[in-house]
Amino acid sequence: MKQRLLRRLKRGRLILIGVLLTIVPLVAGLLAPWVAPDAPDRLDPMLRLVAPGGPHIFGTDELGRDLLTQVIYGARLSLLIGSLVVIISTVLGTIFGLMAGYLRNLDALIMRTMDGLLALPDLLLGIALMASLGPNVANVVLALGVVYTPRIARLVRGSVLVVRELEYVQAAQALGATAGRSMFRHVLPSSMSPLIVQATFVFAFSILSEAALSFLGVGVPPTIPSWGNILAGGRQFMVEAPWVTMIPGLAIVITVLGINLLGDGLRDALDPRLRRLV
Amino acid sequence: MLTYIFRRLMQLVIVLAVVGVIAFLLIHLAPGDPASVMLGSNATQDQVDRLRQQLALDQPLPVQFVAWSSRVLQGDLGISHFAQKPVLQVLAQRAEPTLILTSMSILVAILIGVPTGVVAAIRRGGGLDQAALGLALLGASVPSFWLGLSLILFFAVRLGWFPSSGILPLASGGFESLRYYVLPALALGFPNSALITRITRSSMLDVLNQDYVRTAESKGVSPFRVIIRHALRNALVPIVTIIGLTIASLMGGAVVTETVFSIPGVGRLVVQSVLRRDYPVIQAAILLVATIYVLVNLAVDLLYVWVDPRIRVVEQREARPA
Repeated sequence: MKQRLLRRLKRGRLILIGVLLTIVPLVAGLLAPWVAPDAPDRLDPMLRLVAPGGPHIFGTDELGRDLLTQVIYGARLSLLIGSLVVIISTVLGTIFGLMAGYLRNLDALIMRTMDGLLALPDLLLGIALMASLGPNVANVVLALGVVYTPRIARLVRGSVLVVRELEYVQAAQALGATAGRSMFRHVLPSSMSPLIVQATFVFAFSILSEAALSFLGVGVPPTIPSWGNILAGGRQFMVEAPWVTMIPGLAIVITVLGINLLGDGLRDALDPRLRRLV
Repeated sequence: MLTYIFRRLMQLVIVLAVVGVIAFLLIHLAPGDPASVMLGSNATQDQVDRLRQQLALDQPLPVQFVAWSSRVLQGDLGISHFAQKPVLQVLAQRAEPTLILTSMSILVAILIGVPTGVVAAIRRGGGLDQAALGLALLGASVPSFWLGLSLILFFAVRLGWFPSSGILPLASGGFESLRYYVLPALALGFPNSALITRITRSSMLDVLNQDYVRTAESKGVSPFRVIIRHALRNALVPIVTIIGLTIASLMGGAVVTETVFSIPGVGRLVVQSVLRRDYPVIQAAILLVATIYVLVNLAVDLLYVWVDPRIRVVEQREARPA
């Protein structure tokens, strides 16, 4: 009994640490125009690569922009892109997953398409899609939304296949509930927990992927401050000004670590069956 | 067994066909006329017209797809307009560094992931378990390109232990050229070890509770031998699956790592091709990676069925229509 209580507290602690780590970049990003010490596009050629400390707490980048400001605006963009990717992939994935699970004649078509998308590593598929769509913020969201849809679709389809065989769902159907009604009344609620957990991980993945795409020069256009862009810019001056690469990198690690902890904690709390699996 | 292999092969063909459609559509999603997109901005009108005719661009999309895929199946993946050479030739020239990088990275990922996972399972709930899970969490949260930059800064610039970038071809450097891959392999391998650690841990936990492990323990087999011979061996199936999947994810990660370390491999080529809008190269890379992915998965599946007859029975039961 006591042990179980301790375990619950521990789970709560994971979520708490996750929230604490995520909340700083989240609030800073949301309030960027008010909390950033400088304007994001103000550059001072006289103050290039100033070391951290003094008026510029995090120093300045290769164009003489305040690095703290860049990182805060980067948080704004990364978290915005991450949230939109989660929304797109969850909505598309849920629709496709429900359709595949319910409509037998569409199942093969939808799931084989998802298998094809899953046969490509996230980043390679993202890069290939960006190659066609062209680099801008909306296309990064779209490309990553497509990349992460199959994971959600698979999950939702799996839940549908389990839930619709359950007695109470069959009973509801026998009493005349339509397919649509049983989808929204029975299937969706029961697949909610794994869906929330998976969405959390998609959030973490998409922040990492966006940073990688921008770092490679095929994501967010270089004029817009994003964590990947700051890193790409600071790379050439890494030896004389390591803070320009280290600080945004740490921002990514802390944020993604926080989201992953949150995901782990939520998985343990919401879905005990999954606890030991991954 | 034969029907099982046949079914798996059919699935493989379908997945590859879907990937083919994706690769084919990439060019048609791109803004502008596919022929001029494929030839790049330096092409003359005459060249564009010729390619348009060759690709049957005036035909409906399905007809074009059949024409394109029949050329691909004959090994004709088109011409890289940047290199002005057949795509396959361009890819082959870049293959060596990527093969070395991904093999060394998978080695790093296994060498970190499996022992960490085993130790975590044995010391479940203890300090070592927490440390192992923490390490896995860190691995899952670190961008590999940033890890690469940090490794360069510390081990190449500060300490001077390893070269900071570039490669030495195996033919001219021999063993020495492997030193160029140590940091890249760490940067790519460590983030990919996270999932291996977690799967190894959970798979070992399942096995450690089994009767035969207790029997082995109680009959006086040494703990080390119990863990390696009795437990790990039986926990291997999920671990091998995840290693197979990791190989695919490494090929995606190689794109970034090769850029960070200026390694002239396939991954770097893909990024350069995106910036040059050299679509035939991107298409070929996608098809290549997907092919490797399905073949690795097939190999892993067949390996189990061969090793563990129980799976064969389950597969057959599942294959029966409900």
